[in-house]
Amino acid sequence: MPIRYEQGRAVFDAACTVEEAVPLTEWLEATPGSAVDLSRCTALHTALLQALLAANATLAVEPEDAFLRRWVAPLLGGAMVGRQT
Amino acid sequence: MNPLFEQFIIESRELLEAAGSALLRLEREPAEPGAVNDLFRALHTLKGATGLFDMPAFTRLVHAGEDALMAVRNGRLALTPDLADVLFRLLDQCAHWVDRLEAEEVMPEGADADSRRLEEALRTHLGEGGASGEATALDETFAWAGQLTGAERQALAAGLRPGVALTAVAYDPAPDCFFTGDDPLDFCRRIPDLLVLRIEPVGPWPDLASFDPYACALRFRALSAAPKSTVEAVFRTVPDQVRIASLPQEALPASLRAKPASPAPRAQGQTMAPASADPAALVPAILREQVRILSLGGSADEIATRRASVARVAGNILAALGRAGEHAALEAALAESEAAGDSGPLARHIAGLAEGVSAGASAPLRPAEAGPDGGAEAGTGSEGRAGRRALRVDPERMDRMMALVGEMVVAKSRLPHLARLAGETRGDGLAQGIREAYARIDGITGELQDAVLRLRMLPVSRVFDPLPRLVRELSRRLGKPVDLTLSGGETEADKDILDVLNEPLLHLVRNSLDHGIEPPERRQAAGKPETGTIRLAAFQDRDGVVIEIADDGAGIDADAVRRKAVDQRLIEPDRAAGLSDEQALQLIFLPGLSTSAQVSELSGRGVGMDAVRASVEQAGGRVEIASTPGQGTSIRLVLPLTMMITRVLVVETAGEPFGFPVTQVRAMRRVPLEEIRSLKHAESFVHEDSVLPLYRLRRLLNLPGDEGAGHRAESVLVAELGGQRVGLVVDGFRERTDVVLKPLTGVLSRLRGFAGTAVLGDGRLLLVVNLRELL
Amino acid sequence: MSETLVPVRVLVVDDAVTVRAYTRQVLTADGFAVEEAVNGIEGLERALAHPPDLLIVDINMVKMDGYTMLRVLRQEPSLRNVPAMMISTEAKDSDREQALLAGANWYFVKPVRPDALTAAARLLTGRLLVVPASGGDA
Repeated sequence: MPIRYEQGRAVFDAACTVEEAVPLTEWLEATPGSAVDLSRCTALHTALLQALLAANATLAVEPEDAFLRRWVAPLLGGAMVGRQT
Repeated sequence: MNPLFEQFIIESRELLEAAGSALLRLEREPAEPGAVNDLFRALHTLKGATGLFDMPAFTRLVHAGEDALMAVRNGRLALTPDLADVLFRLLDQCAHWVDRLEAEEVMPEGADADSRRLEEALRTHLGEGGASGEATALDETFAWAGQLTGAERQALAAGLRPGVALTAVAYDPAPDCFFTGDDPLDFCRRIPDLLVLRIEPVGPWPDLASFDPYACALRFRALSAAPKSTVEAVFRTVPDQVRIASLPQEALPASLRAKPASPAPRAQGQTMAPASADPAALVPAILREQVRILSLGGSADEIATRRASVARVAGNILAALGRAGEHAALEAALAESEAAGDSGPLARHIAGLAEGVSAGASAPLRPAEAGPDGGAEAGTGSEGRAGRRALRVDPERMDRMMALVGEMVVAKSRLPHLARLAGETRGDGLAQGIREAYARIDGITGELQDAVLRLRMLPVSRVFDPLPRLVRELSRRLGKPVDLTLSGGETEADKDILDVLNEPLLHLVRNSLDHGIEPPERRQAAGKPETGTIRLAAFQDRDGVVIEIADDGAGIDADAVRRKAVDQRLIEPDRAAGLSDEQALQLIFLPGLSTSAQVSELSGRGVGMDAVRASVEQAGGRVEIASTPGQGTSIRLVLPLTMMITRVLVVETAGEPFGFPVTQVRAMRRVPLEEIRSLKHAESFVHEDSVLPLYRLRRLLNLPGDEGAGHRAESVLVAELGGQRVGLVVDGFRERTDVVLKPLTGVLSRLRGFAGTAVLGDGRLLLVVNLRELL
Repeated sequence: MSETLVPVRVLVVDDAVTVRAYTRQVLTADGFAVEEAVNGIEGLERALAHPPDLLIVDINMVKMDGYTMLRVLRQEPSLRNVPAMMISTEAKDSDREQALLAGANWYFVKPVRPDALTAAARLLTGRLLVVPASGGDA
């Protein structure tokens, strides 16, 4: 399961595809002030990114993926916590 | 090679030859107007041809030559041997590019710089000076590259190699690009030597509730240190959505901040400029243009001719939108204009049409939404005129047609997969071609499905119509004066749905009169008007058709319902006591519970609320009830628009997809394990302050394995059945989708717990669950 | 149904071979029957001989330009109401107005995107317009 939903937090794992867009949007809608953990996300579909941006979701844990960390993470506000690796 | 491209190579050689000989003649006889005209025309035609392909440097250079020749023709500029020299070099450069294009199909590296040098030379002759040189290359599309943030500048400085040009990318993905399998962010990930990437929303973000996750709302701006051709390769499947340009490094910091003050450079760097990007926007645009045409001056004859062509165009547009039925009104406006010799009435009519389509909801072009169809039987034949005759169609034929549409939906869904394969294995335009074909077939299938469904749609007034008579009779018999108001009768629903609605609606109205509305003297005592009110309203919402029946009667006493249910041993006393009033109200849906003290002559004929609920649920809908003692009761029937197509939420369990009608889904949740209580074998959890029973789909369906050890929370679907909510543990949630439900046949027909099967877009078989049968 | 089995005929008048080929390719792929003429005079002759359902006319042509051609054509009773589209590289509003004055119903700036071209051709000829679904359904 590429995205796991925990209390107030969505945990992205591996390649997250467009299929997740609707459940993610619904979860975001139902979970104001939600945060995302992108640490293990290796690919984030545009549809998911725009849902996160539209919901103004904050980043709970930074992605390890270099592309996502450099270009996507700064778009998501919030206290960034680097993952201990 | 693409035949069009081949054609281009041949034609441009001819044009360059013609231009060359014209230039020779012009140099020999500068006074001969024919030569300059021939030369100008050759370049003009060449410019039009280059514009069809992505070769901005070529187009720009030809355009610059054309500008210079225009000046020569107007006598603003003399053809000096120097200028002729530059023009010859220009023609040589173009010929060189054509040779390279023939061999490699892409413009050679450095074409931008070559073009710019010659443009510069021409501009010197035109006396425009050289200052705006680089600025021309950077039309507004790339203006952002001149306004980089500090961090972006730093990144740029760190990544730049001396002497290497930068490549700028402006990528505006089509809103529907996800459907064709594009992932714009992934394209950007593949840009080599990426130095700057900006991801921006196209517009302000809407409310999440109205946010469409499947419509791409982001655009991308990027700078790369890789050569233009390499970057172009990444985007080769979306050439119409991206613009890529080479920027000389020296153009970056200084000159970019100083915006060109000199004569505004034309937007000539653009290629494949979307003259009118959105075909949907064309309708109001063309209609408005017709209004403008009618306002132009001229002789009476010219004006009458324009009216004729404008009226024909407007009529054609209506036909193209599937609104030929509105033709008569247009004809009338034209006749009025002809009679008065004044284009005003026609212009106003067309302006109204333009207004209508641009004000129309989300998709103004889809005829289904656009056409206010008078609600005639058997729908929207586009040849329809006022007073047309209804056509009776055998429902079975219609069902077969619908089934075929369903098959087509499934068949077409293989195309994106093929496009992906083609994209991976071959470099030509096949993938793009398949995507385009898919988009068209997808659109047509959607329209077709809609058109067939619409054939089956009838206005709700069909079931409302008998009610006033019924209410009048009952109200006299019971001695209770009542006002019945009906609204939304024009709301349309599938014929099958209306058939399902008929009986429950009669029952609910009878109930309201019999048990809801108090006798006049009691109403008076309660300070209410003697005449009671029953309101019926029909409307459409996200889930389907909603019918509301509200009265201002006595309401339902939740305590009485509790007592009754306990008396009739339908529920344990302590459980009844634990129910909130809202939950207690739901008990009236239990079989065998009748709330009125004595079975009345009118309502007590065995059709209880349980029967209402059962028939509504069978049609894939649900019933909601709300009541305030002393103030009245309101009951809502929520039904899908059609029974042919069911909107389902797909969940995954044990590796298989299962569908639930969305009308029954109330929520999707992740419930942490520690919040799941288990008592003996029964599990429960708290949802919105209520304790709900929790079932596991695997167990209900006897599927192997469990939901998997080690995770900390379960995916729980909260479903509602007759006012009772239950939780259902599934492995994961997937998309929502419309499916054509087929009844179970053959071996499958013995399975309990399924409403039917459907085929998903990826070809997998989906079993749609009938929860009531399972629990 | 307005989608007829008789193909809708479009006459493309342009002196640039590549542009004609492009227009033909795009419109034929969408089911239009395309005829070509290389200048205004030939365009007039063809239109008179067999009135098309739509004219697509370039402005700059040797031997009678697009404006002149449309003006003459609008005086013919059989051609006065044939929908006409002009296509040119000029984006100025004055050029657009010139085209409308000459008798055009619509004006496109080159190059025209294929989807815009077919959508406009369908609208101007009354062929059912089909738009790719853009709804939120998977």
